[in-house]
Amino acid sequence: MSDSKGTRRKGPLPLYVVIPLDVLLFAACLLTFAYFHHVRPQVLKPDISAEHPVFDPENNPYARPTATETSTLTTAAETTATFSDTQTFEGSMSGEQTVLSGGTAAGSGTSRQSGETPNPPAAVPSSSAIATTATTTAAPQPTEPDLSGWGANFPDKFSYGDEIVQTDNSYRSHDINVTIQKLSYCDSVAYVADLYIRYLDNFSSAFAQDTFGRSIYENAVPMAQRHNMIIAVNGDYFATRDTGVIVRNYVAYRNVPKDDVGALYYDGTFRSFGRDEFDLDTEMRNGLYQSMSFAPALVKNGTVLSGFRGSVAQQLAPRTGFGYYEPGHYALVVVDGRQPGYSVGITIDQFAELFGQLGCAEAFNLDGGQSSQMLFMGQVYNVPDKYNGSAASLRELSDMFYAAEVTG
Amino acid sequence: MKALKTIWRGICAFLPHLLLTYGLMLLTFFVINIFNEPMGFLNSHVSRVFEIEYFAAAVLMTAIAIIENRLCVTAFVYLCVACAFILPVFRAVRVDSPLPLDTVYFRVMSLVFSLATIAFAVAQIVLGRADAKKRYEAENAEASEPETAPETSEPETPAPKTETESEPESSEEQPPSIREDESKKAARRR
Repeated sequence: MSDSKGTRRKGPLPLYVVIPLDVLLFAACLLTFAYFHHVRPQVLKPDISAEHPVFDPENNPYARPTATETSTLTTAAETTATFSDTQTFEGSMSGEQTVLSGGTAAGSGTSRQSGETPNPPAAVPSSSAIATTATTTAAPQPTEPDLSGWGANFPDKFSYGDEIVQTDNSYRSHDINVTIQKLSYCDSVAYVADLYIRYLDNFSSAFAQDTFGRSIYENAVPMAQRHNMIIAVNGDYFATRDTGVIVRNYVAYRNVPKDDVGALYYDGTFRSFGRDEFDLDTEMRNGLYQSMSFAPALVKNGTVLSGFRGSVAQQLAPRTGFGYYEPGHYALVVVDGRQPGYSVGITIDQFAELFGQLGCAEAFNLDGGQSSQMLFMGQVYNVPDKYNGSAASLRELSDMFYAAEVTG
Repeated sequence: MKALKTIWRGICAFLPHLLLTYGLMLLTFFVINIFNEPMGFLNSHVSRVFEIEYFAAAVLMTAIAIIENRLCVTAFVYLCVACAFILPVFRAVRVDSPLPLDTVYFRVMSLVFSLATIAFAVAQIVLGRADAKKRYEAENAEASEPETAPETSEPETPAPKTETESEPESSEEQPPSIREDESKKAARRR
């Protein structure tokens, strides 16, 4: 444009200037989007818009008895001792084979169908504290098993008294029994934590930074140590998404079913729903305790599902999943991957088959990839993708499912 | 008024580049969504804001194209594509849920819209640059001419003839110094 004095107007910018400017603009826009989509933390409130009828844990017949209902247990002085009761299993399976007989600890449970109700607990308390070393109590221990809670279902799985027995791959107390097995499966290494709990509140979930929100993450190690997690795996990694059903510890945080929904109820049963089958109000009335939303369901009513489509499902990758045998008996499974020579990872079909071989009645897939992490006694137990031995190299998580002692 | 005109020209020049960027972003999200759907690049609240902003830019670009009479029919078709893309987004906003976006239709429209945007924006940029170049040349020529120089484009005009006016029409846009040289050469030839 020329002005009135006749000065020459500048012409259009040359292409060698325009193209880099366009690239810069593209990069700036992408970075701005990425900041709002991934980085900026956004604390969210529980979903109260629908006035979900939250199940009242006080009236839960399967819950841990309250302090007023319990009798006082005498505590005994602790003395250190060695424990060699559990044996480490390291078997191997091919994709088509069943679990070897030596590796039946995780799969030895009877695969009851979901929905089966457990025995109601008796009014006997438990108040074990986490021991950091292998210890046992010197004082006289009860000679009869405590049949409260799901102790009646697995009387030999729990300690009779307050004794806590821990090895490198197992933990046994009055309320919790977990044994981790390292299995070889489809050129990959799978870690199967066979978990028994006496009461449902021994199995719980935690948010990163104890906050529900978007783009809120935390390293798994401090998270596990803060909550005294005995065994823990990563959860849904929901903080990157706006979809999914998020119910944790009886509180509904989000109700946007997008895919399958896994539901753990007040009575310890587990059930998975299709996207259109799930109704939050109904399930909250039914006593929904924890939901899992990463999807898909792997085993349903004892039937191993297959034919999962999509690149995420069909690639060889690290996997994490939750398996259900019967109320009080669960499996937490992590498969390492993307590490040629050690563990290449598995597809979702293979993962479902693994749960089938373990004998689970229900199984549900959780977030995988770099998120696949299993922690035992606050330390990383598996070998996650891109893990170099330092906790700082772990991918930060948005949530975890774990088993822990409940005190007080 | 002059400032408004400058701003308008600035918007006209910048918008195709912004739209090209948005188109590339949507294409990127579409590809990521194929491989990593759980990240929700097409479904999240942030994505929804981006998509509405993108649609607004597309509508504005269409309006500019029609006002400037540049690829009017193409602009209209592009507007239809944009509307088809944004409908499920508005539906998702209305029910405050990302779920209506999770359809094959929306994914296909994302691809179509991003490709259409890239093509339309590139065409607008190319044509806009060509127009700007023409305008630049014309305005420079005008600016180079003496302010008192009478118009010579119409031979019927009974204006007093000068040296420069006697030159052929093809030399009208040349600078006066060149024209003077050529008239001297012609006189010598005569």
